Amino acid sequence: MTPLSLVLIEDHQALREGLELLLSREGLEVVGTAGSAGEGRDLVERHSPDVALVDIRLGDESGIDLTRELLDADPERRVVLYTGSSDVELLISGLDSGARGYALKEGTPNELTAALNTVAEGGTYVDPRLRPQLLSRQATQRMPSLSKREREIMDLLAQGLTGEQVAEKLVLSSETVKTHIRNAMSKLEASTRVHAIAIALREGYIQPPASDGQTA
Amino acid sequence: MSADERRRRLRHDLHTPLTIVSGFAEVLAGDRAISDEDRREYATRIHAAAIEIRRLVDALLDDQQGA
Repeated sequence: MTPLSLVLIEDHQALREGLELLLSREGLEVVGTAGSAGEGRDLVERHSPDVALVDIRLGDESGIDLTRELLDADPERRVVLYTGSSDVELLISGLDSGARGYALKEGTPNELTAALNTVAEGGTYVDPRLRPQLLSRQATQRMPSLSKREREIMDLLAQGLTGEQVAEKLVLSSETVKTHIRNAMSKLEASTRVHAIAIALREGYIQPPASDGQTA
Repeated sequence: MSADERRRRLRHDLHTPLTIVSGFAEVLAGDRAISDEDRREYATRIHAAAIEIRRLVDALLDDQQGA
């Protein structure tokens, strides 16, 4: 069986090296490690790993922002956020960024390996220690916010562009645009594109198109 | 920096070396065979992480005394 390929983005050098050792020992193929968001982005673009493990704090940079950037460029990428914090607001922001996994540093190497495998296979993972907080938060949760790219695409659809035209305008593949639309529809709990546009307008994620028909 | 942000950073800074300690300790305590070379390497990493934790805790205590 081909080992799962991983890019590891963690600013703390000793932890980065330690995780590389531990995860390699668990049978994962660590194809690259980085200590900053920029290096990490380059590695993910170069290697297209099965999954990227991203520390939520990369010095003064944000692993959540990096995740958003990675997924804006390719929504099929699979990211597990890695953090020492169980702060629920950070958790919500992390999941809103599109990360499919959220693992705590207090978890064991076995748990982390299981999280990476689950996400690489297309599933989602939230550290079990966070589930009570997440469930209590969900009871009063606002609608998950759309990413910048999702808002941009919904805005263009609201202006009357087709998916193909949106792809051309944003220099993205049609598949990528379709995935963004699908994700936006899911977040907005909409059954059709038009329904999603209506909800996005109502919730203020996008502005109504100009009445004179001019577009930017 | 707000008090909340300071707490978050401290938590992150402390959890990072603690992850190294618990991760390698778990491997050392596990059932799988480990070569002497690996055992030394893991113990060295635990030791380095413990020194970092002590430094962080000392800095925290100094801060509290100064506050």
